[in-house]
Formats: sequence, structure tokens, C-alpha cells
Amino acid sequence: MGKYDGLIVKPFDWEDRDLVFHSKTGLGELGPLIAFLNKTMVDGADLNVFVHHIEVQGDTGPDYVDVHTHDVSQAYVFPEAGLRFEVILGDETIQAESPATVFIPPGLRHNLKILSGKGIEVCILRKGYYG
Amino acid sequence: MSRYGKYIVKPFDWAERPLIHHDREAMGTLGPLLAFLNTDMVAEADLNIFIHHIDVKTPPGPDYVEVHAHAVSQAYVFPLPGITFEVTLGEEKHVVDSPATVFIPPQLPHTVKILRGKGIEVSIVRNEKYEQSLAEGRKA
Repeated sequence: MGKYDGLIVKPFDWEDRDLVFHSKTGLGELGPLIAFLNKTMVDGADLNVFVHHIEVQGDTGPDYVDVHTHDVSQAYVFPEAGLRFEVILGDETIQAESPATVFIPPGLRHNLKILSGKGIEVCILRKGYYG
Repeated sequence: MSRYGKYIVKPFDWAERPLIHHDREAMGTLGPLLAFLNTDMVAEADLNIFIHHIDVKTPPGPDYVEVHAHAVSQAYVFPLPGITFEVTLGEEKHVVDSPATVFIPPQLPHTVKILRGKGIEVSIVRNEKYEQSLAEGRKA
């Protein structure tokens, strides 16, 4: 047993667990939300990472997250081409295509909607838990 | 004129740019390294994010990064299956199959080597510019 074994973790499906501000039904329609890092998985972790596997089935994706803010910064990372999304930042609504990053400073109202396509989104929050 | 459009950025190929402690030529044999977030891209960014597109043509992959430490935490996130990597944490070596996350606390010496497979690695440093996060760059 190594001293640092606990720093290497396997992801797990968030399934029906609650996620504040989010509709789990809407999230689930797009595809599984996988937890990759939080302070429950790694004691002392000061980053929270989810990976959302996304495939929009209809004309547009569902509304699944309320406009909200965090007390730390956040980033939505879309690593590969293939997704179209819409973000609300403050009082602006902006559409963009992957690959792209959306950086959200602390305190900025924001929201995300996936419009079309297939791919993954990496959601990174600069603290060890989502909320 | 958009006030917040500056927060949505397109990644770019790090190409020939240096990356401290990394052998960019050896790294490049695995595939392109793309910058997804840093303070040059978004001035207020307090996260540094790279994505390395990896395809090991001749296993094992090369040694491309020296053992080093950061003053802040870091995570290697391998979001998809298909990659086997070796991570050194302190004096320990671990061989791991993706998907997986490696969390690296501040000051812990570490390195990573890709052994085989194809996929992506997301590197997240909880700081601004990568170089500024390095432990030896900080003065008490």
C-alpha cells in the first residue's frame, strides 16, 4: 500500500445524486455525468471536476441548469469539435462551438445550454466540491 | 459590444513554445499539446489548462517531463478509456489505466509518462501561468 495511492482515483457515474442548480433529468437526457475529482474522492482536493458525456437527441438540448453564481472561478472546457452551446454570462447570451473554453470569474451569473452535437464537456470548479 | 465575450476562448496549438521541465520535442511525438486556458488567453484566469492529444505509436511513450513540483495543486484528468500511464508521486510509481484522475497536492514531486494507447489528457493547474505555479519559482 503506497502513501500516495489515494491521490489516484477512478471516476464514477453521478447518477441520481443531487447537483445544486441542476435538473438531473435534463442533465441525464444529454448523457451521463461522471465525477472525476472532488474532496470526497481525494481528501484535500481543492478542485472539483466533472466530465459530461453529451449527445443531443432532438432539435436542441434541454434547459437543465438555473442561472447561478459561485464564490470561486469555474471553467467549462469542450476539448473537441462537435458541440454547439449557449452560455449566459451576466446579462449576455452567447453561442459558441467547440473546441472552446468558457472561463467564469467568481460572482458572475452564468448558465449553460447544449444546442446540438456530441462530445464531452469538462467542468472544473476551483474548490473541492460543487456548490 | 460584448462585455463578457472575452471569457470564451478558442484553444491553440502550443507548437514549438517551451514548457519548463518538459521536453517539447519528445512530448510532440505523442501528439499536439493545446492551450485551453491561461492568463494570456483570459487575463483574470486563475486556472491553467492544457489538453494533450496522445497517440503512442511505439510503446512505451518517451520520457518527456522531469520530476518537478508546483506551489499549487494540479490534476491530470484522463477522461476517456484507452490510455495506460505511469505516474511518479514522491518516491512511488503507479501504473494506471484511463479513465482516471491524479490529484497532485502542492509541493509533491511528480512526473507522468504515457506507456501506451490513444486519447486525451487534461492538465489543470490551480494557478495562473504554468511557470508561475512551479515551486522553485516562489519566494518565501
